[in-house]
Amino acid sequence: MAEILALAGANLLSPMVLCFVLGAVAAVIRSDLEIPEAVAKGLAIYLMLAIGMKGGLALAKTGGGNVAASLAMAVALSFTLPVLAYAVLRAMRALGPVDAAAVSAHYGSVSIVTFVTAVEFLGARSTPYDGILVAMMAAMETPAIVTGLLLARRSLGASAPKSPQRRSHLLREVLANGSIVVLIGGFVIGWAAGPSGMKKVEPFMVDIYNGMLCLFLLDMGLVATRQLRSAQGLTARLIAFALVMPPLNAAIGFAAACLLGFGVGSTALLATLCASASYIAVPAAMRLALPQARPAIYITLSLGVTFPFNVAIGIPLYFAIAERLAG
Amino acid sequence: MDIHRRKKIEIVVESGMVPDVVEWLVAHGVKGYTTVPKVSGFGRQGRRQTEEISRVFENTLVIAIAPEETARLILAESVERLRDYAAIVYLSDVEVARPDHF
Repeated sequence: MAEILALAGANLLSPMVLCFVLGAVAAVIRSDLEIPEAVAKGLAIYLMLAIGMKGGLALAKTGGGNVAASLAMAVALSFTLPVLAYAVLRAMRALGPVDAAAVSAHYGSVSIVTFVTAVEFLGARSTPYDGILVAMMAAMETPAIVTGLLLARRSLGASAPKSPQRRSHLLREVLANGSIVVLIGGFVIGWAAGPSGMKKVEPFMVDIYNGMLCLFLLDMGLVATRQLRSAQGLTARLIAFALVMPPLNAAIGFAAACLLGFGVGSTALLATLCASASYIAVPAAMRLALPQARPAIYITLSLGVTFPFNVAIGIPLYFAIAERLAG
Repeated sequence: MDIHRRKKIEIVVESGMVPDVVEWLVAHGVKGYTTVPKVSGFGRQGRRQTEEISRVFENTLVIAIAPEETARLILAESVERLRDYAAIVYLSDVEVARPDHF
């Protein structure tokens, strides 16, 4: 217990998390601080490319382990985690079926920024991880959306027709969205270029990575807090859900990591992936496919509550447990 | 110069739906359109804003000019088509010089 607190304390004092806190404070005092959208998007592209490349490089260096099993597990997790979230929401009587389906899709999917922050946490502790985790993250983004829509269809029934054009837009949004393209592309590039190739971009892709992450988390602190403040329809029950679901999902991640025989770093990352909730890709898909669900609910829960929880408390917690399980 | 009357169709819609809306307009024979991205405001869906991590709260303005019959058809269809989305649709009268362009 003391060890977990020590880890959490050290995490909270890292510049990255402190920048997140700064952003949150700025939002609370209603500062007009604004990271221009183009800058935020540029930072996001940089982070996705860098994390993709890091993962591909790690895979090239250490070989695959069981790539197919890991990816299959990732897809299976993404398909099934929403079912648990849906069951919890409905049991708590926290939301109606359509909103619950939309929220559960978010919790089955992943937050790339949470992953990136966790990778940095591991790096600060010189804990290695398997590069395949990056590919697993990419694989985990989408299946949860399908499950969420299936869960919603049960209650929407016949009143949910979707034209073929809308379906193709949804498909394109979900499979070809910018983040996924850069992430997977970066992964392939890192793997193909290998250590000698990646050395050429090290000053940009590695050395300044943490600084860029600071800026990005500053923006995240601003945006997440503003979202939380402006949200209507949030109940105490929903906030409780958004705090309870990450550790619950992390537990499933630990089980999966044990099955796959992962080391400490990879175990911590898989738990983090399961515990994280999407707030960019899944909301966009939900607007197209499930417009009856309320974005104010699902975005606020995943961005305003779960994301800060994972960054401040979750990541060190999952790492401590991973050390016990796989160390 | 001859003046020709047409209707201007303006659709303020959530940005994710723009490809869908644009395809729909073109399917009705609308010959062209203009999109004004990243507009913000307020409505029944709450605050619409643009400086956000997710584009889900962002609006786009789509402007098209069409003959009256087409415009009224589009307006009528929009009720059902855009029912669940953040959208408003309205028509106004305009005059153009090149009738074959609209």
